[in-house]
Amino acid sequence: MKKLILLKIILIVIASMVILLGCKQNINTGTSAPTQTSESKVQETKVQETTNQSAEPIKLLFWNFGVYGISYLERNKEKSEWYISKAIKRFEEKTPILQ
Amino acid sequence: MMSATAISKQGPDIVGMWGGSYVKSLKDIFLPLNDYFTQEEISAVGGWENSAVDGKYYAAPIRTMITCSFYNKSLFAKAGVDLAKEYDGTYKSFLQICEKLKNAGITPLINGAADGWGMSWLEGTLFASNIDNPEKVINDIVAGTKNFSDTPQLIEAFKAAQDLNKKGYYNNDITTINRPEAVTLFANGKGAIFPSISFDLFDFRAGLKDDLGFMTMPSLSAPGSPNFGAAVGGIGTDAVCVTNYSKYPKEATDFLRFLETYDEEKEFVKDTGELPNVKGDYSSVLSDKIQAEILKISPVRQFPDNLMPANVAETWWKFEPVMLSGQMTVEDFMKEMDKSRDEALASKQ
Repeated sequence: MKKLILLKIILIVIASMVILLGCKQNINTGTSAPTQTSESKVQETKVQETTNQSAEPIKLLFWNFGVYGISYLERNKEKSEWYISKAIKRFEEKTPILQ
Repeated sequence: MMSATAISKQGPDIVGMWGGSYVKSLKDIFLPLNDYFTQEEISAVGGWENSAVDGKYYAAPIRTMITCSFYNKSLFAKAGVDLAKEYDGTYKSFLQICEKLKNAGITPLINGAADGWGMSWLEGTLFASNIDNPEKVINDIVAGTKNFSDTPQLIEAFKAAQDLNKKGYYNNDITTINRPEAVTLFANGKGAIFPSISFDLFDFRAGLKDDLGFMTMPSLSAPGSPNFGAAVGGIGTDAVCVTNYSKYPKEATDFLRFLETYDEEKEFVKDTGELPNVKGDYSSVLSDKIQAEILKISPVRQFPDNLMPANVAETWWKFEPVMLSGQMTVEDFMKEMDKSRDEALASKQ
């Protein structure tokens, strides 16, 4: 029997372990706010639930320990505008798989 | 946190994290990726060895970081420094430029050592420029077959870094401010040179605009040596891993394979301003002309502290400001490193 697998990747940003790169700087004011913290703060990307009745959804959970979203070009952008969020979207569009 | 989720097997399928020793310490919960990538795909990506244990790749490597120096063109001009004529990439010519800047009343170097790790990049670079296969040397030390304190090239590198402060070339508060604060100082024109790393480029560009210049890190070896011009950082310093308890290892690894394609890497470079670790031509998506200069640097060795157990790297960072200030000799600093390494080895038994 063929089944449609719809892929959703849920990106969760975890603010910890970022030792080398987790410092947001403000050049103009000279302030810095390290994102390193002993307590993990989880922010979940809002993803639309897959409700296709004929589909069997696969959800992959992606924990991002500060690898993505920290570069100078990204740090002030909304998470939906980060490279990784856009890459997930491209991958999902490419990957509903008909088996 | 990751270990706890592994026990419950309810954690993530995919994890993006710092690579090297961090991944290796969690290898028991990550899926070896060798069988999920073709040889051709593996060959197109740099940095697999960063998170490899016994030939098994526990992470798909991403991003490249390369140590380099940035300078302030206006301050160089004010001191009469002609970089092209006066800097040949050696530590000796670097010292001469610093002296000239100091004599002109300019702070030659900026950095912040309170948090330790920022200084490790210059020290690691000096070490890498001074020895063949620095990764093997560090791995041997970590394994206990060598010591930090009896590796003369390491001692020489740290003394060279310490001397820069002894000679009064750094900002006066280097040992009490952290690195991000120092980045702000340099971006605001408070010093002439920042021995730094590729990802600082955009912060510095935002502050200095057209006054920002690029130069390589100084080398302890002579021009012509295979190690001359070496940097540290790494091709593929960060890691994306798949947990071995994921219910969907194929789909998860398919996503990693997707991230490691040339087309996606171009998007990554364009959106983030980071440097690539997938082979290919990125000239059309680089955001700043200095990036092309940084990509010419070779060889790029791994961050030495990234090869060490966490407690050893933390000892480095902890004692860095004390050593840099001259309150601790480099020899005693190395003994502290050996002690931490011994503790790491003992904890494994």
